[in-house]
Amino acid sequence: MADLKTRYCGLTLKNPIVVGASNLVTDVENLVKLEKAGAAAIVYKSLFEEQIQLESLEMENTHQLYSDWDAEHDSFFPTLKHGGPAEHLLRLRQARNAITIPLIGSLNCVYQDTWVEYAQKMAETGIDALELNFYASEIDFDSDGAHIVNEQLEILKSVRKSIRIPVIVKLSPFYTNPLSVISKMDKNGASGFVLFNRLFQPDIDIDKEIHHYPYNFSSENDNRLALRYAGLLYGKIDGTIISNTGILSGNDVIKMLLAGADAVQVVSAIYKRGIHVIETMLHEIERWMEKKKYPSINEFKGRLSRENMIDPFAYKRAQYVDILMRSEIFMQYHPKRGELHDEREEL
Amino acid sequence: MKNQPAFINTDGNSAVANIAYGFSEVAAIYPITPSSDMGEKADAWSAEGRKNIFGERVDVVQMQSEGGAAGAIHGSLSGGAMSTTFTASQGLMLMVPNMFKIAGEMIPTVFHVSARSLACQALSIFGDHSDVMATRGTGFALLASGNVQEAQDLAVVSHLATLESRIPFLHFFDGFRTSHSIQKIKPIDYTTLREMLDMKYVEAFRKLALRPEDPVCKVGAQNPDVYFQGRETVNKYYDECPAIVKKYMQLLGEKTGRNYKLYEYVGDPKATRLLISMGSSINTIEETINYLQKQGEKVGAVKVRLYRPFALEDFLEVIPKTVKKIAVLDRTKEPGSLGEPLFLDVVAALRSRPEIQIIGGRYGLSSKEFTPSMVKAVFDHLDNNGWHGFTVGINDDVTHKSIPVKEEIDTEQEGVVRCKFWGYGSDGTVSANKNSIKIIGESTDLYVQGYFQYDSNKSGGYTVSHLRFGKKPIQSEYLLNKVDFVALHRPQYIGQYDILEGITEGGTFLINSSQKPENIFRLFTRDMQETIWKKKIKVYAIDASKIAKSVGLGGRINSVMQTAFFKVSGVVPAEEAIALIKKYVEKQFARKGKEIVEMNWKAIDVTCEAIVEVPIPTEAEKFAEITDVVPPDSDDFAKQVVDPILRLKGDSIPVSRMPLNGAVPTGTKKLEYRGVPGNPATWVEKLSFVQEPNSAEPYLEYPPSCSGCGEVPYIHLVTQLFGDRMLIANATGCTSIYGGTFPTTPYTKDKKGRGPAWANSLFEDNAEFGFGMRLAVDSNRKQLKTNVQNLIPLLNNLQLQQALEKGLMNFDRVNNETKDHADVIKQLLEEEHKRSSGNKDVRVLLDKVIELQVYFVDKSVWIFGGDGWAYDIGFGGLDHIMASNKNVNVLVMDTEVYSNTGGQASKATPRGAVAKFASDGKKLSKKNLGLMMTTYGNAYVAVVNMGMDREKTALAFVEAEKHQGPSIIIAYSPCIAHGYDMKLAKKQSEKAVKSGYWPMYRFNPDLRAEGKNPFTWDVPQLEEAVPFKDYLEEEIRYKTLNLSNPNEAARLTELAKKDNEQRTKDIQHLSEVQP
Repeated sequence: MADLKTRYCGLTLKNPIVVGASNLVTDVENLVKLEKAGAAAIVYKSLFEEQIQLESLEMENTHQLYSDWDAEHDSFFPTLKHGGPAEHLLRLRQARNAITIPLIGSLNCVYQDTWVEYAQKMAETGIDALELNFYASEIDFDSDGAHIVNEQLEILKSVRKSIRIPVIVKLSPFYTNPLSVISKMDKNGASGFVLFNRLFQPDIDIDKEIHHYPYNFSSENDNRLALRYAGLLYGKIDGTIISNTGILSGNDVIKMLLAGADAVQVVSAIYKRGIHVIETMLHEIERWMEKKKYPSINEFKGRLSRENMIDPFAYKRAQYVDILMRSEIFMQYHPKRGELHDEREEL
Repeated sequence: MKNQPAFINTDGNSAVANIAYGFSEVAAIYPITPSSDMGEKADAWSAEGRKNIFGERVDVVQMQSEGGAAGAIHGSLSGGAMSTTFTASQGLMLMVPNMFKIAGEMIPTVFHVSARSLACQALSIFGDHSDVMATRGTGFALLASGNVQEAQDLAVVSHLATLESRIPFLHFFDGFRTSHSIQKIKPIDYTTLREMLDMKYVEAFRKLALRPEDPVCKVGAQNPDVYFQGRETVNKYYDECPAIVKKYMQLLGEKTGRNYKLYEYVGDPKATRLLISMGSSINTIEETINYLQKQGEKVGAVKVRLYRPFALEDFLEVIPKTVKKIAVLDRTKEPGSLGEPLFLDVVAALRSRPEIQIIGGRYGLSSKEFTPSMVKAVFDHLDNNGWHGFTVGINDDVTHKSIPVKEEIDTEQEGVVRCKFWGYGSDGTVSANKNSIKIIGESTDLYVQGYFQYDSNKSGGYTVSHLRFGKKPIQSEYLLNKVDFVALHRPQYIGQYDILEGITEGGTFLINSSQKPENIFRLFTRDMQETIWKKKIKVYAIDASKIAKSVGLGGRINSVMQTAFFKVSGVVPAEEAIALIKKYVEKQFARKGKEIVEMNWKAIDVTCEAIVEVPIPTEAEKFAEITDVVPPDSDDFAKQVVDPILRLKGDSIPVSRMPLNGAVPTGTKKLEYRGVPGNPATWVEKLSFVQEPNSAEPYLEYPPSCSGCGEVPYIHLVTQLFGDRMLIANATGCTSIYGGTFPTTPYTKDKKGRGPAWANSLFEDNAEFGFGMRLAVDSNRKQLKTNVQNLIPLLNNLQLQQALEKGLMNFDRVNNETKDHADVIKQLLEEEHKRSSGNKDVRVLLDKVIELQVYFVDKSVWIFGGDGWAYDIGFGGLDHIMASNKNVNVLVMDTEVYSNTGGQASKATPRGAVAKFASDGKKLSKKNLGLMMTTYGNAYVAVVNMGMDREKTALAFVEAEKHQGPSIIIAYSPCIAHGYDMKLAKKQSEKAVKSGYWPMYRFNPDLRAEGKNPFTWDVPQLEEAVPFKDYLEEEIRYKTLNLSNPNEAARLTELAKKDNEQRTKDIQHLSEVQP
């Protein structure tokens, strides 16, 4: 039996498949099923402060709808404050009690003080780690990159100081240089990095001329970015490398591990193929490891990372040229350049 | 309480509650308008953990009635906790017995009272001193405040003086005029309060607590030998009390710079004419005196603050030597007295000044306007050898006691800006105006005042907001009669209301209209057009609905109209005003996200750009007609009473046009409304068990309840079943307000002129009230029977004899046949009456039978009320009549909350629901009133749900009516206080049953007599139950707790589920056992 154990931000996971944050996990029944299917850990759905803001605004507005109707009743309901993250914390606690595998919280806030406040409250629920979901969808022309990175670093530092459990950062690839950002965060207390966040991208219906919001499941080729960055980061940071997006099969997991990831997060695969996909994926990994005679993940993790590559150009811009040169159209005109293929093809 | 702002904008209730909270350890309350807010505020503060001046959270408890609250206060005081309560009107009446006891025992406490009219010919929720004056014999000290600032300050004085004097205090201020008026005042922080309190008095108070360690037997009975002497032991405390009050007024002056006197003189030191009054009137009087003095008049006034104990020397001290004539103004009426209370006191006080002519008059009952013009009229009356016993502010054309108000004077401070807003029920106008006052009051040096009027019809009524902004404190304690800015949020009011009444020269008029600017002038009535021309009014328009939609504010136009007000009213220069509102928006939504702030800013900008000035043509051919508010062919009552009231000109109705006892003809609501008259239960005709169907005509039409009200279908049903022979006793509450607010009623009659006869006594006594009606019907029927039995043998008319005998035979049966037979008897009696001559005995008997013949058909006596009445305040009486053998029928329209007074929890409120006094969710389960009532064995009990099963509901009503004994029907009644769109009420009612929350069953003692099980379980067998969660998640009352305290919500939901199971189990198994 192949040993699938892997490290995860100070935790040891029984295998590298972690269920990523999504609505899937809000149902306790699903959590139990996911655990049973073999998930090594589960990231609970993100707590978004923005959502709390809107909910609390909505609550005030709703109450106001019933105000000042009549001389005898200025209002129908007592003045109540929105409980903030209370409902989320309650669900998180219920989730924690429902499963035995590690449960990881996920947080996205607007204000620095709430990042800390909510992080502390989430930590108190007994979760095993906290993922800071740096979900930045900037629409502001005036805030520059350095400012945003500094802000995120500050948040990371203050959260790190305020809780004891590992702090993981989930970030988008849209930095001028994600490696530098990750490296800074790595030095400032991040125990791991989730590569990468999928941003909210509404579509446009051209008939109705409106925005619409289809489910954005990741598809097969979406994993290339994470694959590349796992390869770039391997061996360069202390933090755990967690690949995310478009990991739909056991083979995808293997690819990530080869590139240098410690673990992966899956969501779309479960949505598309059901909870049992985890079992299937684990089985595929095991089979491959047995075939390759790898007794444990450490034996092959990062083999194809930049650090372990002999070819200094492997992770360079040349890769792009390389791909072009191997394309069908290119081959049609320059069939003899095929000798550039390297060992990677054999995999 | 650090960093207390220099000024705050607050209403009287909040200002007083804040002080009471500071000085109290316990508050026991019961909701009653207009004092409910004080208890609610205290409860909310307690819930959020706020500390009093001793550093403790106050224990606030809601009791089952004001009597209960007073009892709890008495106990709490006896137990050694500083305790307070808040009440008004009938509530204060229920406290009177305890007030005598508390004062008799010399226990310090303060009752804060927002003074309100007592229910006489009708109730009124508005302000006067009839409640307070009815307590003047209790031994409580009575201290009066005249505005919000005073109410706060004298609340402090009351709490301090009671502890030192040991005399309990009743601190009062005018209901609505002060309790609900928003004003800019200087607050007092708790540190200052703490500094003003000498703890030795608190210790002395605590020492009197009942303690087994130092036991006494407090207050046993006393006999004729000593009771009198015992009563006289208190005298010295009353003698010393005024000096103590004075001391604390001085201390307050030292701490705050605001100086109060027991009796304060204002006006010319050498005045010859004087007014004496108390309450909010004193400010209006002072404002008028300032004005009259400038005209050279030698006038003055005495503001009475400490009314009990009356401090003779202090009072005499302030009466100038020069005074020749005094008019004492009382805001109460004591029919049959030589004068009202304050007048009598003043007469007694001025025995040493026989040269002064003193008269008394009444003003301002039920918040009747009391204006500077009326003050001037009283001075004029004094001038003209004024006679005693006058009234001012009305036209008494019957006993001619009213004095004329000849001229309209404007006494308000220079530069004051007066703004009036015409809004619509729930359009948010009032909320927006409260907000505007806050913004301007907090951000500028201006003083503010806001007062709000509402329609008493619950759906679709008007609101009028009266706002004043001035450089000096505002003394005008009356509605705006001069207006510098008018906003009309609902253009449909043109033609019905006098929109531009009182607008000043060069004033501004803002209208919400979707019309093009050039088409707007023609929308106005001719009167409005002429006012605009004559007074050179600037008119602005804005299409608020369109803008609200375009900027994402939905249907609520209030924010748009608020911005427009800031822009064009001139209260603050436009640019500055817009900056203020933007800043406020930023502050308000700061933690709600940048996007929300930006959205609101955008709405402000878009609004500013969309305001257009309406071109005023030099002449206009087109104008709007004055709308007929009652049909042109209406009777005198409609034209002379209903019409002016619907135009908000009811103040002009003279005494002669008012009914003596408050009664109005039924069938009058149709004068107010057009269109579909409602949804009568015509379907009952098809039901086999209905013996007296009447589907043709409704007995309830145009009920002005909230749209979608869940009570109304039950009233439709029961009136449709028994309306032509129904007496209704209606507990005070929503059903009495939409069922019986002057001048019209939705109850109506059929073509025979028959329909429900309806009356409302009080809140607490409704079961007994209806029970009494039954006694009267039984008594009259008994008399009829005896007289008919005596008459029959003496008659020489076989046809009538046979008809009467048949009438007696069917005396206890009611169906269409017996009703028709009663009509036959009536006809025959009339014929006999015409024919009958000679025999005197026959004549007397015949007359008696004719007088009583309406009782051949038994009356159906119904007792209507809500859960606040049935479960709480009226429960004692309800319990008693249910334990009787009288044929009364009780309909409890269970909204599970005090709906009419604004959503306070009752014992019917279910576990987990949020309500006032249950802000963290009701902790205990709903009282099982139905099951309790079955324990009498003799009472018919049904728990019904019209939205789930209307036929079973109708069956319950028919069985209840048929049962010759007490019956009670508890009816599931959706209410806006549940917090969902009432269009979904039917669906939600079904969920209530299918989720196991609302059981449906009937307990019919008549079945037991037949050897059957009296219990019938009416919940249908369900293939699939609705999850309880599905029922809960529709309603704000439950959802809110999920948002505010989800842990508690989860805990209570679990317990509530168990309640459901237990309730079902408790009742269902009873229907399954063998009898």
